[in-house]
Amino acid sequence: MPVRVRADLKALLKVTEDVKKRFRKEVTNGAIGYEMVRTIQDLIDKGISPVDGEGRFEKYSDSYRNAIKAGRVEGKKTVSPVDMYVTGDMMGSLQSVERNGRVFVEFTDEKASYHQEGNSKLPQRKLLPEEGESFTKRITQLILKALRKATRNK
Amino acid sequence: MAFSVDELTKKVSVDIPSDLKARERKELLEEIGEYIKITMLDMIGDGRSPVTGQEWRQLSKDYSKFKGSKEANMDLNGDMLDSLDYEVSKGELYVGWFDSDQAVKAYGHTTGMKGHPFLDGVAPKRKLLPTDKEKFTAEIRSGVEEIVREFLDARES
Repeated sequence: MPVRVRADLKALLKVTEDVKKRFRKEVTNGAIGYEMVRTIQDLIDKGISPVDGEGRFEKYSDSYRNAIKAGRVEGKKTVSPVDMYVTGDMMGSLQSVERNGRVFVEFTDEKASYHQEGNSKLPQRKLLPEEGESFTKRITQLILKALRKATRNK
Repeated sequence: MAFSVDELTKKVSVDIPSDLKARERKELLEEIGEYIKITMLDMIGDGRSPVTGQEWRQLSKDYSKFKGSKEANMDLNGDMLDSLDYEVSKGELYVGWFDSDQAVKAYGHTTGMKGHPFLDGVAPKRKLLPTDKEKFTAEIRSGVEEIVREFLDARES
């Protein structure tokens, strides 16, 4: 059973309800989930946490930066941004699911939980909001923008 | 650097009702500051100016080789973008670079190294922050208006 880092989207629930109100039945949970995953991935690619107040992810350790610069980390050429990408397994495991009419976003790769929680050797890099936290406003606005565009094109 | 800059910041004018309590005004301005910071980072990460909305000139071949990437995302080692921040002081919001070591880099990029002994007029301008006479891109301004609207709606309900 994979360890899951999951945002149950209480934080976005109000937004998704607002979206539904605004777009009535033109926008499905599937479309909202798709846009959410795409938007979160895009922000993380630039080294920005999707969690409100977190800002940019903490830099890589000096030893890891030196390894990248020396070409010892396969597939990685730059030390910044911290894009959470090495093999692509973790970022590729970000998905949206619908349960009981609600949209959830989750990572199914267990490495996500290590980053989310951090430990003495790994800095905490928040990938999804947990209880009491919310997505950054940039995410909610980009999702609304994408959905507005999609419904205009129908 | 051959010149120095103490800080590079922009005072953000926001249309907020005057009857808001000081605590509410601070809360709202902090929310807006966080939004502008993240949106600037997002746009800069795409190689787009938060002032003009336009994509920047691409990196030169030599610099791309040195950097290990073709992306003009202003992100070589992360120091400058990591120090982008906001402050709310005396009821006003300021966004930009408050650390002089990083402000001088941001100033150099924004002005095309204006005042530099040999890079002035040679280095490309990549506008990171509006000057006093300029504004953030319409996308950022409308995002700010939306945050103010939501804040006031929540306050009334």
